[in-house]
Amino acid sequence: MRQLTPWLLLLAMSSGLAGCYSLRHTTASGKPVMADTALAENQEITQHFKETARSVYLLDGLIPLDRDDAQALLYEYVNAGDGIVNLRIREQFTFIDSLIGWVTLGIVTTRTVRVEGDVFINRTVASAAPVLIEVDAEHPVRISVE
Amino acid sequence: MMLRSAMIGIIVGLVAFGLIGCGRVHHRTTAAPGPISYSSVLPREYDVIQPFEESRRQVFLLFWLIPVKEGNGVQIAADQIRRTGADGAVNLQVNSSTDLLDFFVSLFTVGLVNSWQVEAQGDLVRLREPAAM
Repeated sequence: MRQLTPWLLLLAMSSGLAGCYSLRHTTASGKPVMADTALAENQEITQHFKETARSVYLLDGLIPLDRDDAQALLYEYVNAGDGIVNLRIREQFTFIDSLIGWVTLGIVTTRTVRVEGDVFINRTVASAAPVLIEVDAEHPVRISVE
Repeated sequence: MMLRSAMIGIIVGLVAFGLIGCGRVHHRTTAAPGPISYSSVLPREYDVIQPFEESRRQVFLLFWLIPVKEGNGVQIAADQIRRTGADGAVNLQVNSSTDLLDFFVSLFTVGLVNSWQVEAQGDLVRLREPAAM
């Protein structure tokens, strides 16, 4: 049992490499960035996207070095259309992340963030040919919309 | 004897190492009760009813392998919409973090129990009726 103790401690430390990290997902976009499918009739999906990035932290997550959150990943796609629907954000502690944590003994830790969704555009209704209406005092015109 | 101990240690380490890559949180919902937007824009006009803020701890067993208690940011927003009877949510911000409590839980349980915290905040809204022609 005594021989196993250091290994159990190492095991505990390795799982503790999840550390004290923090990752915030937010967007400061002037366009809809929807987590659900809420397309209106005049909206059309033009592109499906999937992006992955790795956030890097120092000292077991205490100091964020390169924090790739959803906003950074979505920037290009928010500007590619009129908005985003079906947005899914996945944070994961992957095999590579744990390898980095192990090799550096927790000095450098990483998290993987993946965003996936659909870019949509607003379809403009094709306008009909212009209609010229001539009005004079003797022949009044009545226009009604049904 | 020492070699045997080292072998056990390496095997235990490798198993933990392989399994540790399973911790994940997926911010999504399969049945949203209304539109949920990370920005302040919705396809329809709306009025903000009230802000919301809620955090949930997501718990895993066996080195992040088995998720026991789920909690993701979009699901929190969806539950808030259902609970309050709102029509949707805007300005959703999701923050995932681990703190000292998570660290010590993981340490004292030798990695058998791991956790992190997911916090969601935003504004619940009521959609306006489309203007009649």
